[in-house]
Amino acid sequence: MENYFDQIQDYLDGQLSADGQAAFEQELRENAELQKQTAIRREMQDVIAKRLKAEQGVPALRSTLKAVAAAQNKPAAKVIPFRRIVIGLAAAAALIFAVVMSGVFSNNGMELPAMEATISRGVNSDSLFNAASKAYNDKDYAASALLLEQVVTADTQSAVARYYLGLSYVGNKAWGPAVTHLARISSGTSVYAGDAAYFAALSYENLNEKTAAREQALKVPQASPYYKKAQKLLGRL
Amino acid sequence: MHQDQRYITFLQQNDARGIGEIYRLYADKIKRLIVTNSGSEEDAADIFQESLVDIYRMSTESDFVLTCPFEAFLVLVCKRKWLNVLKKNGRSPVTKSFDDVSSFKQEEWDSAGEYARREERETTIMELLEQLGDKCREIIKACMSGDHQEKVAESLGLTYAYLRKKKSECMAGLAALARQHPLFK
Repeated sequence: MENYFDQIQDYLDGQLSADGQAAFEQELRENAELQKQTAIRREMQDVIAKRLKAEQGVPALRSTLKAVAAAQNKPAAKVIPFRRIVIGLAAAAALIFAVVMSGVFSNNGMELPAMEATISRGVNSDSLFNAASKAYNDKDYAASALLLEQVVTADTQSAVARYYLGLSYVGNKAWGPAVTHLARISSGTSVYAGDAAYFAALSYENLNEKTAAREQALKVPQASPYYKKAQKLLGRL
Repeated sequence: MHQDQRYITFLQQNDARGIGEIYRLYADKIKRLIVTNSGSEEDAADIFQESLVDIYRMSTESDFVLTCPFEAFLVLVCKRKWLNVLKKNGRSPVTKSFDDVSSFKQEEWDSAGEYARREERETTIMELLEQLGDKCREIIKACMSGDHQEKVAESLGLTYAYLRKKKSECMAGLAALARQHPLFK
């Protein structure tokens, strides 16, 4: 007599012969316990596959949750003057920040430009922007994203803050928010437009949105340090 | 689809700003619930964070659709996790209701309950998997990675036939553990 319970895995994996499968399915229609056990095994298999895939995103999510929780727990009194400083700083970003490219570091095969904030005129260096810069260069992208979100909320026109906010999301592999900010920069006229187009293309590629990725990659000018990479990306699409 | 689907999207996309909104809206409420049920603020912070991670894990299918208020779902997941902590530590059971802090309709609680039960089943399956021996766990995880099974066999230094045999045995072992668990009886 066949032991159909021993065949559950082969049935779920499509490994039974045509005759074996027909016999198993015939038994399945008539045997309630076999139905139950097969359903549990299928559920276990689906859940494990899904959860293992989900685990890849958990470290980055935990990092964001930790940064958000830390930000939420800050006493309000400390936040308010901080934000005032930032509004002033961000409004005059072009004058008071000299954000320069000062090297690159690796991020799982992607290279993100470093973020350096040089503050002139004796402005208090303990600013949100500088805190974001430190977090970003320490590769704590969840924290830098959170800080830069506050900067762009205070000054929606700050291209530099939005550019590095987009890059923070790239660093955190949060592709959806990354394209939201980077595509906005790439469609503008700031000095970051060309470079933002490359990282927007990269993000769209990861979202498997090939047409949008191609459009962005084509925007990267020859003068951009990312031109060659953009051409390579176009080749992949 | 419920309008609160956006909170699921924030978690799926690891959107710092959106996650900030989740914290602003719900962290204090969950803290109150935990603290008034024998917990500390640190317990509340841990439960809140781990519940969001579990909701993320559950919702990673691209077609995951939320049909109930996010808050109701979150409250129920936090409640279950906190009850488990109390049970594990032999502490007194929860006496104050978790559910009466939010005014949702009964059908919304029912719908949230379905999601919470599904989340509990999924989490339990992963906990049972961790109870298996090292070799079985390694084989099951490798087989569920999405790679071709021949490639998996090669990477584990096994023959394909032996891998299939062991996978079947290990999954049967996992099913046996599940049969002993109240959720799967």
